[in-house]
Amino acid sequence: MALLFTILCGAVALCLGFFINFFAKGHFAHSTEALLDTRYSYILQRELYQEGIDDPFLQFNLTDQKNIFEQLNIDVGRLTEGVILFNYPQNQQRYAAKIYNHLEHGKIVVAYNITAIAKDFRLMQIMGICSIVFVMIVVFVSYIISIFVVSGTNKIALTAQDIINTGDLSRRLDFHSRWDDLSNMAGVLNLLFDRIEDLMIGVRRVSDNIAHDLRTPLTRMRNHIEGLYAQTGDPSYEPLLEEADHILNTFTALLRITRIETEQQRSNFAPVAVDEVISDVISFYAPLAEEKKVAISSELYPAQIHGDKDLLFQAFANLVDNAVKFTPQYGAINISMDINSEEHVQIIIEDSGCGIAENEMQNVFDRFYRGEKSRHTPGVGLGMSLVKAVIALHSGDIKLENMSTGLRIITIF
Amino acid sequence: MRILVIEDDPSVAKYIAKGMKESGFNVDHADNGKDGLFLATTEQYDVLIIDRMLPELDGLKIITTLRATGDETPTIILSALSEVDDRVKGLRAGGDDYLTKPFAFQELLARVEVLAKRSARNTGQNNNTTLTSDDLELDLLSRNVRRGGKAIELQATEFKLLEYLLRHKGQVVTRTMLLENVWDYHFDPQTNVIDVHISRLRAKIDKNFANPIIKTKRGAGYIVEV
Repeated sequence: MALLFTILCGAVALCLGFFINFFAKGHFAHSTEALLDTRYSYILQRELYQEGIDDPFLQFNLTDQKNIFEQLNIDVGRLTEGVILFNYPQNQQRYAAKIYNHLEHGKIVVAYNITAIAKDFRLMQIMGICSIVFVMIVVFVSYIISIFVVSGTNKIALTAQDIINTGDLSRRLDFHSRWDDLSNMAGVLNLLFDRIEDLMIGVRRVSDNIAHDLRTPLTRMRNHIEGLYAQTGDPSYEPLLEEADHILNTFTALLRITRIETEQQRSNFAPVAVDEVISDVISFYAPLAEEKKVAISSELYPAQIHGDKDLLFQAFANLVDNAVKFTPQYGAINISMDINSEEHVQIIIEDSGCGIAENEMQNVFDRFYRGEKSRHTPGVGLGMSLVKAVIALHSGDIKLENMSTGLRIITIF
Repeated sequence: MRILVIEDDPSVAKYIAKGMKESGFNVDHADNGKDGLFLATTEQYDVLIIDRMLPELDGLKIITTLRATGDETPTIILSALSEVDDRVKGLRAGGDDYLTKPFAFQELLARVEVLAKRSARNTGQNNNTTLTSDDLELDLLSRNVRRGGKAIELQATEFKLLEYLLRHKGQVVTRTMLLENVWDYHFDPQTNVIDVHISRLRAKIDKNFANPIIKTKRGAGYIVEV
């Protein structure tokens, strides 16, 4: 980008310089020729045919015998078609001349003293070159500046991307000075990152506090009930215990989703063989499916992704659990894998259940959302939220599609 | 068997101490990190139960300090922080097990018993290649299971499940312990899949036999009695 800009600027400067030079020269040549023509018609009118200097004009005749250029050994240059240039040795002045054919006097050379103009023209040429050089310097300097700016912005973008990818909010943009605008911007962005980090730490602290300060008394209550149950053996404590466990589990699940979403903990990330995790999930749920006479078939290929083994197992377990739950007896679940055009691993889970109504598709990932058809099944409506959070942590994507019978869930990593 | 409980919440500490005493352990209690570390270094315990968030000295600090001095007493970390990350941090610091609050007392007891047994076994290793219970035999080398002289076909998961239960014969094994050790994943199954696995295993090993090998402990888990 910076290079292209510089090349264009350089080309423009060169063209400009060339055109100025070309037009100035052309204009000078034409006006000189016109002046000489005027002088010649003046000579013809007044019949001033004698040779000699009539400043600023010079006039002499040229014949085959008498060639002043050869006599005085004058180097002849060329200004334009028919106009010549020479230094007249007798007064060391520069002349532009044109040779006219006269019937009586032969060839008449009419010359015009251009010493002063030539000096001016030379000066202008020098100034033109100077300005081209100057423009080139400006272009070069702006190239350096643009490289600096582009590399600076790229560095900022790279660091920001890194922070997004790793979730490491303690990273900062690496700028040492604040003398230029870019470093100033980086400084301001760093302040923004400070603020975000503070907020995230705040969120974490709040959820930690909730975890510690609310779950502990809840545990105490549960333990009291457990103690009473152990002491008395009264079965009426059983539902109380179940209810307390249910509240605590819901609470734990909710906190877990929040923590996965906000903290982006990736310290546990390692290369994970997804196919192995999925086959473990399938073998874990196989007895449950068998009991319900639901057939699970799978087509897996070895594929590795960078991720958290336990969280991936949990996510796929939730998906397979749902599939088993919502597939009717003698139904079928098919789990297959695919590598898509962008080399991402796709895991496709298809069931022959009732699917999801189109208007509910958006909501299944919401916390505590329970679809119309799942109201009567056990669960609290956090399973899919957790799946979504885990997949987002792995920078993946999840799509739901209704098939003619059942639901297709595509996860992409 | 002596246990040290380092826990700042008096109610939780009382609850643990009471339960452990009833189960036949001698229990000492410290309510802050400093006293806890002092007790742990000066006295000899079989198992330490340490809360993570403690006044004066953090639970993980206690464990790293102990491990640095070469003290290898089995330790269970109790914490209200349940994330895998925290768990990994706890285990890396030198904890042997990690239990998230809230926990059922049976869960803690089962884990303490496993660790207590391990600390007792450290003195005399047993390298049996055959695990037995009643008339059931499980050969770890040939991976054969026989009951009353009759061979029983088990799937890989069922074999691992039975192996884990037999290895902890006489101890209650909770569902979470099975998940962590047999399946090797830390996760929360939404349905009671473990029970289905156990009932399938039972159908294979206990069917047609008078006394069942695997018994259910209500509210706790499963046990293979000695």
